[in-house]
Amino acid sequence: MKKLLSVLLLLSMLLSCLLLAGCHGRLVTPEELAAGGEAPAPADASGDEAAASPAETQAAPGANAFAVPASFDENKKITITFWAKNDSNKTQAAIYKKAIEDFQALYPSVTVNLRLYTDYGKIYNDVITNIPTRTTPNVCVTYPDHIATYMTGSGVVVSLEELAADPNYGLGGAALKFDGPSREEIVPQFYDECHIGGVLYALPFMRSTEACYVNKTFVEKLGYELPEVLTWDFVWEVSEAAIAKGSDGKFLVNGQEKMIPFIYKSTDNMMIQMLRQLDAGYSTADGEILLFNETTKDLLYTIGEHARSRAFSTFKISSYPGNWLNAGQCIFAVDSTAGATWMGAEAPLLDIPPEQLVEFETAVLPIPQFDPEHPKMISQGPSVCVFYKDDPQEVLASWLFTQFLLTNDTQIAYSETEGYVPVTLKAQQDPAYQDYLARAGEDNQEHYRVKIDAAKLLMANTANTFTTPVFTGSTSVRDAAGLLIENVCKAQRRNQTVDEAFMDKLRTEVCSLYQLKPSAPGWTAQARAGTETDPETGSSALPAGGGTGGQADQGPLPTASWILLGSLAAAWLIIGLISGYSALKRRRERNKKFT
Amino acid sequence: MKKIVALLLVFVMVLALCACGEAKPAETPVEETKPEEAAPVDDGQTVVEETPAEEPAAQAVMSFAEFSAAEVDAPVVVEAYVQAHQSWWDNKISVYAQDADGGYFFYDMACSEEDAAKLVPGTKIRVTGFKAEWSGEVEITDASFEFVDAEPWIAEPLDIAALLGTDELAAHMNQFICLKDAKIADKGDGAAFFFNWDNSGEDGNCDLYFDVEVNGGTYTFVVRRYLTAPGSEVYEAVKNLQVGDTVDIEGFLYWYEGPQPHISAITVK
Repeated sequence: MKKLLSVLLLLSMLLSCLLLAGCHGRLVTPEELAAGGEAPAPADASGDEAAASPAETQAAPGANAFAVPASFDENKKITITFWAKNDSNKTQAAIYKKAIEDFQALYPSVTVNLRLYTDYGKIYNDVITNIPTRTTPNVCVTYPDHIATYMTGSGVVVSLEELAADPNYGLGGAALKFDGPSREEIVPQFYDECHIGGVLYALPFMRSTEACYVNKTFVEKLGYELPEVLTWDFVWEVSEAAIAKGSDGKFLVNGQEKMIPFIYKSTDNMMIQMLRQLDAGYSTADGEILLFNETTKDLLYTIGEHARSRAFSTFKISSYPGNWLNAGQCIFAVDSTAGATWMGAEAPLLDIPPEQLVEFETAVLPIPQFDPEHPKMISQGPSVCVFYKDDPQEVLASWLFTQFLLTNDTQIAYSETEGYVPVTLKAQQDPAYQDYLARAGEDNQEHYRVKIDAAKLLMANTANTFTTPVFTGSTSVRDAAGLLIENVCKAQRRNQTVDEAFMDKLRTEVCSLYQLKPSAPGWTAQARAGTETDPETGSSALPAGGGTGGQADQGPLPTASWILLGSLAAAWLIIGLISGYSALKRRRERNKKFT
Repeated sequence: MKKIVALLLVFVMVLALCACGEAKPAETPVEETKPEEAAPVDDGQTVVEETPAEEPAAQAVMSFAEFSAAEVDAPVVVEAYVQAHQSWWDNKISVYAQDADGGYFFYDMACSEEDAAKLVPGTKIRVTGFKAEWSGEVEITDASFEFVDAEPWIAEPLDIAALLGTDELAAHMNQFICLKDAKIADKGDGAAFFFNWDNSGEDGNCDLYFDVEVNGGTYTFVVRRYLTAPGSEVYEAVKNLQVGDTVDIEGFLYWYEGPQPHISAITVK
């Protein structure tokens, strides 16, 4: 009987171990859910299941150091996956493919599988989903905000410090088979932006900022002279002047039935930059949220007034600024410099019927400023990070490819697809790139003036750019900043009352939506971001739908978990009782023997 | 005693096994991002959901004519029959609906997953929201709805062949439409369709765009992946199109800077 009991106990323990292992949850991807919960396909653009088996190769969570191999083993076949984003632009897709071909020609033992996205948010979602199942890509185009979230699962993203400094395979290393940039040849500002907590976790790939694309013809028609640097007061004043209508109900400035003088594409950027220009609070590096302050509220009142008059609107409410600009229905269109090819009457890319185009002169200016003597604008654009894998050679191959994306050919070709700027001084100073800049306006395709002016704007203002602090939850703060503007504008357009009560309600709703935790009520109180990712499992508590928002409330433990925990406790209790009972029995038997 | 202990142990383990059953997260998205029009540029962050704005005050149900006459941003209440919907996501759903007088598009309407399952074609609903216009598409946003007890009704498709290229077409926006004997045009480089608007997408991760020639004009139609997903009959059929094919098409008259129907069926003749 004792043997049977022992076997049962042993089995119980084994089962417990199995259960504990099996209870590790995982995220279900949208595709899996749609497919009825089937396992995800390999993250491999080619669909070749044998090509990459990330689940087998990625290091277990907990690995947090990477030792650079003494040499790169070129006899070993290595396959890496690269998740990249293009702006719905097939030329950009072609440049990625060419970079891969060129890299593979130099390193024939390495195969790079490309998976293309047109949305950073989708890349972010897919990475988050694949962290628990260890099926992340090797290399990924992303934003530092997103990397901060990836990093909450330990051992997910490779610190690039040692790799970058390696004398052979580091930046400008002696053993590289290509002419990559040295540390000093990367634009310092852009290089610094890739540090999180003082550690290098990415390399910059492209940089852009926002520009105000102006219908100069209409500004002058309204009797104004366009300044070199726009001020917010100037833009509001001209915009209000532009909504005057004639007796026929049409706008005087364009003779059309539609006109929104000022449209902002990214309202999160709008709020972030306005606050920075006023030296008002937004967030701190350690996750303190200063967004909900009196300056923010004042800005919302101002923006809302112009939304009510219809002098101002947003992309989410009214569609792409460029479409309105090109149809002669907008005067100030703020969008990324990476969208310059869509801006202007002669833009090479158009989204409206050609018959709707209106002739006008397009000026490319920095976004409006509160202090034109000290302009401030955001630095944005993709960076590239490397994910941990068990095989150091695979990580090294990923790092080599990441560096290859910074070679002049790729940098110059990609930057010329839009108003992007190469991230290396080496590429910026290359005669081929200088020639490209000098030929602005020669044609309306490769040398489209507006596009090149947008790139020049960023190069002239690199010292005036800034980024926001990166921490887990910083994406939520960004989203919240935009939502404040969107909701105030909607309310004003709908003739709802926007007063202190509205503002307080708005603040509460936005904090609740993004799980921002204010320390006290009111617009002067500070808040903290929720933790987006479970540090143990790396799983995300994203709002359903895969937004890049903050943490959804985890709520109380589910009943099943309580049952499991209770069962385990009960099992240990029974084991303890049995052990105690057995010990007591043995002692009694021993006592019997001796007595 | 030992038997009891053994039985207890087994019982405890069975309980533990039950507790380990993995449930799919109820809120895991079916879609990944805001399903709106082809986005030419997206250098910023992903689009996120917004909190619904203030509920419009209770008001009478509007006729289609009254809805059409309402200003953009006005609170509106309409009743219509569901004709199709895009995939449910994050307690929101976009619905193509119609009544005898006209078509509606309810964009990202608040909807539980349970209610989404009940939004079968023909179902009548009352929708409260705000009138909006986005790139020419007239729709209702920030909306909520309730079911209306009524006999199901499915619209007959409107043949738009004679309306294409005319100003009158916009009056039929969002309606269930059809086009017969249309010829597939060269989308570019000899392709019958593009992955994404400019062929920058990849199979399965994007909408499909194709052009048809009708009455001397060329018009763009879209396979919206949130309406007819990759792997669906429609999605796969369009991937097999050849330039010059003659097709019959059904769909909904969506608008993006002009007519850009979201198709629901296609037959190659």
